[in-house]
Amino acid sequence: MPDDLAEVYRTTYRALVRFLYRKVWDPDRAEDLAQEAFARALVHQPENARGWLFVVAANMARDEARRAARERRHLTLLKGEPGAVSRAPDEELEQQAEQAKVRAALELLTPRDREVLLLWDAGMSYGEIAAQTGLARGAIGTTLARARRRLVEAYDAGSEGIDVARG
Amino acid sequence: MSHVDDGTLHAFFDGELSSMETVRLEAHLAECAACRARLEEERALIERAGQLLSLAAPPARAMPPLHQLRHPQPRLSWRLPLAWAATVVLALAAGWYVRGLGVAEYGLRAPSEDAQAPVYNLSSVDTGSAIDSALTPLAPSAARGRLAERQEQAREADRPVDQVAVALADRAPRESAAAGAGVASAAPPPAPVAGVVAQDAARESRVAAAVEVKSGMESGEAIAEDSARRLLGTDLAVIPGYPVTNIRRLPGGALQVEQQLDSTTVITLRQWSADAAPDVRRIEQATSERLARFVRGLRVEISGPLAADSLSRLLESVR
Repeated sequence: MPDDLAEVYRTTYRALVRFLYRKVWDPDRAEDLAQEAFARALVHQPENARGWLFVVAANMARDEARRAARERRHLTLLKGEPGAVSRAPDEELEQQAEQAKVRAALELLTPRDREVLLLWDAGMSYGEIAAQTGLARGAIGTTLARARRRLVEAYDAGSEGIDVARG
Repeated sequence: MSHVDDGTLHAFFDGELSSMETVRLEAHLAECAACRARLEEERALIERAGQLLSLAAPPARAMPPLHQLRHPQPRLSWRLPLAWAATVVLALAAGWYVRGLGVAEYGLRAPSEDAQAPVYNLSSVDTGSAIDSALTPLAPSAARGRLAERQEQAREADRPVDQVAVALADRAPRESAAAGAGVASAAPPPAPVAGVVAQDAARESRVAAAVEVKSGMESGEAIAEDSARRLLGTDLAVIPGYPVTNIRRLPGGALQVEQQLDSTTVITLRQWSADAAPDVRRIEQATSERLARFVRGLRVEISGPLAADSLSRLLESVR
């Protein structure tokens, strides 16, 4: 019997958006992809909807990244980027700067460490993460410990670098 | 027992140790000061990593209701035969129309051979597939073969917009198009914007053709931005930085925003609220093969005379 999708949607949608956001770094795209994943789930009615959704979402985010790389080559077709419409307030700028540092730190992790960390942060259990990544369940704690340590270290190193540059 | 590893400590804080493992861990911690110290260290690390990740969280937004999510279109549905039928009828009707009106009167070059005479085929909206939005030059006798070939290409590529013509101008409303009344082939292009740009993937070149659509070109009344906002219940989705030249209300309630990219390039954004009325949902189904996304609870579809990748890029900038 497939999971009750309405319930999975209620409990998992935001987690899926969060997971995707750390991959595409665009809130609109993250929501698009999450909604697309659920729309597909409605059609496919997978047995383990939660796991299925994260697999599909991860694949879509990967395709998205490839597509984005391709599109950068096409950008010359468009005549210049439109100027910024409004200036973000300082608080927002600061938040964006913080986020950029976290993003840079995340990107220093190995793909496997990052995936495990993001899946955990999206609310998956060790068992679910193991099923998703193909790692042994017993390896998840160690992987998470390493991923968390590297994230914090990379973030702190990045902050110091910026402070030095500012000083 | 030897010292506990980091993984076990993290699993402990993550609530992922079995009760047996927890008992063993606690027994060890009771007699090992070193591991107790590390326990605090790892707890702080977990907390810090969690804080950092929450700095990189997307803005909290409302969830759209599940039943309003876009449904992917099934492949090879009932729409395909319909598309064929409509195309054949239109090709015949257009041929008859051109012959009946007389070639000279419309300034058309007299065809040397019937089979090579270009007949432009404008299909109706309700056939659904993106290929049907194409204005495709077809020789009447070859119409079926060419269409089938293009549909095959479009399906195989799974990216119909790449290979299929993009309708720049508004499509004719269903009645007139289905009747074939509004279709006529016309002289070489003096009016590219009013026409339709077809992208022929096979030749990798664009063939511009000015097409006169007798009725339905202006389908949808032009409305002011204020009324558009009221209709949508939110601000219009637009590509920032480019002037909006037109806002139309389409039959069914969707809105169409036209933005000028440069003097000859007009991008069209069709949009409607995700909780739109049923007849809008029908349009959504009919056109869901196009480049589209959700923006602030609006469904937005883009079209224009650019490569699909560029359109997609523009679509991403829509706010």
